Amino acid sequence: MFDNLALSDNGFLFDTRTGSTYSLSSTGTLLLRSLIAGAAPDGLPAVLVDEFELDGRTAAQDVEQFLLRLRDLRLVASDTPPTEAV
Amino acid sequence: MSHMPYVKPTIIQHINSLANKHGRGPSRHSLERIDGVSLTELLERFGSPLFVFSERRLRQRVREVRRAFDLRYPKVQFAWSYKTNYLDAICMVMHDEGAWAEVVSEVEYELALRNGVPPTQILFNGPYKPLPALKNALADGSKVHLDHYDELYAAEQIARELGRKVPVTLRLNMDTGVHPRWDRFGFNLDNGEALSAIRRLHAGGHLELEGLHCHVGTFILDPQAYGRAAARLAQLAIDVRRETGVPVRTLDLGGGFASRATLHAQYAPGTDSTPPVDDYAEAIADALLSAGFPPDELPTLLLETGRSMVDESGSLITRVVANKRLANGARSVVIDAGVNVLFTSFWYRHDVLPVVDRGGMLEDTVVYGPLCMNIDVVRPSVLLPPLEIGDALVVRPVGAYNVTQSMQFIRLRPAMIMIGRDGEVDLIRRAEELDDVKRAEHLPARFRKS
Ligand SMILES: Cc1ncc(COP(=O)(O)O)c(C=O)c1O
Repeated sequence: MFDNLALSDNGFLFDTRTGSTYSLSSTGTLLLRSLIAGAAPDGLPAVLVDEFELDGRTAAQDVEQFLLRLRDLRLVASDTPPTEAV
Repeated sequence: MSHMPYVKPTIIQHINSLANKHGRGPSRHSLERIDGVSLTELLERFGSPLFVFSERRLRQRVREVRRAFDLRYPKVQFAWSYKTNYLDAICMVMHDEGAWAEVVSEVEYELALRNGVPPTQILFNGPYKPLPALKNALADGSKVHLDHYDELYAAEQIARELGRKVPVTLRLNMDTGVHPRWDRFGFNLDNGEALSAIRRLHAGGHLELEGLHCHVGTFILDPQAYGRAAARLAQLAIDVRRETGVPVRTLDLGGGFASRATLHAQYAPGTDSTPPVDDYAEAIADALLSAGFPPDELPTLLLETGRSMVDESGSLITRVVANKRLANGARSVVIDAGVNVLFTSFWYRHDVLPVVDRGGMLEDTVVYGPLCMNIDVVRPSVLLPPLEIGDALVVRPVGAYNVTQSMQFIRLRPAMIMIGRDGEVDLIRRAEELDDVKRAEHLPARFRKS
């Protein structure tokens, strides 16, 4: 499902299907890379908490907002359920 | 665990180039202190939002503007345009720096008197001066700028009652190539009205023409407009001298120099595109010095510079109250200060900077005020890093016209402080309370709950 996305380490994203390009923050890159590698959206807050000094609630909220953005930009299918904010 | 600081996960779609429609970005990305004082601490102490004025900045600017003129013309007097900002503390700094007062209503006249300005150092402009105010001003020797014939007749009547000849100034308007043309104020020079008014004034025998005044407009980016206005005022003064034998003692070029704010329609930021004040001074002084006045009859140049003096000394500190995605995917933030205290948002593309830049990617953002009204937009588009609720932002420059045009629409007006020259912090207007607004109202007895 992410076959069309080329994501570089420094956060540059190229969608080969639409020709659109994007910039991601370092954490955005980490999350999208996890998704591309097959991580479930529910597991993403833990990815942030493992990596940064961050409380679970902030992580869940930030992940939720990020996934909504990906959906708005049609980079993930709109039926991907966003994780619930705690 | 990573040693990198946490930044929010964000993704931004490239639309041509990131900064394209914004012109160049702000000159810096955050502003933690003003005159060495921490803005975070000021918000903790005085609450948010908060107007902050820098006395140091204000005095510096006043001196810079004055020096530009003093270097080029021997007789210059500034008068502080009260409507631009009539906070007492601001007015007192202006008067301390040697400025007279320029007022446009009996209310402002009263304010100037209360600030200790002698009546002879008050310039009284405006299309409506209630008769008692006009009488007092003329009797006390203020410089009254007549706006139209009815006012001229009223002034004659007052002079008659006083039993002496009273000096007055005529306000003029003319085409200086500036739009919009401020031709609703004063007598028109282009169509001959000004000259006939002057002849009429002399023929009446009760008034004496002391000065000529012209306010070209406001936020005038072309210094040559002042050169043209000054040349024409000077020529008229010389013609009048020849015709009546009485020299015109003052020429008043009004206000209107642009501040270093950026207008919505401008591409380059105002810090780059606003002419230095020297250019205005040069244009005016050149015109006056080459007009052909005899050296002993060189008129005094009066100036009513407002926004260019005070704009940059004022900043508004505000907090983010919400982050929000709009229906079209655009990012927006809601802040706790709206257009009810930021009237200049309608004209200016204010700098909006985080007090603390915690990193993260800049994204095009709409900055909304807290009012439940569609017009409450502080910046329709500005690049901002990710922000949390409670994060502080600086909006600037806001020193001109925002305080005087602010209103208690939906929300009350916030506290205002001044940072003194030695870094001392003084409250110059406390935050409004509900009683301040309601005190003037009266509820008829029949509506009162017993
Ligand atoms: C008569 C007069 N003088 C001075 C000013 C001050 O103008 P500014 O703030 O643009 O310098 C104004 C403002 O419009 C004005 O009407």
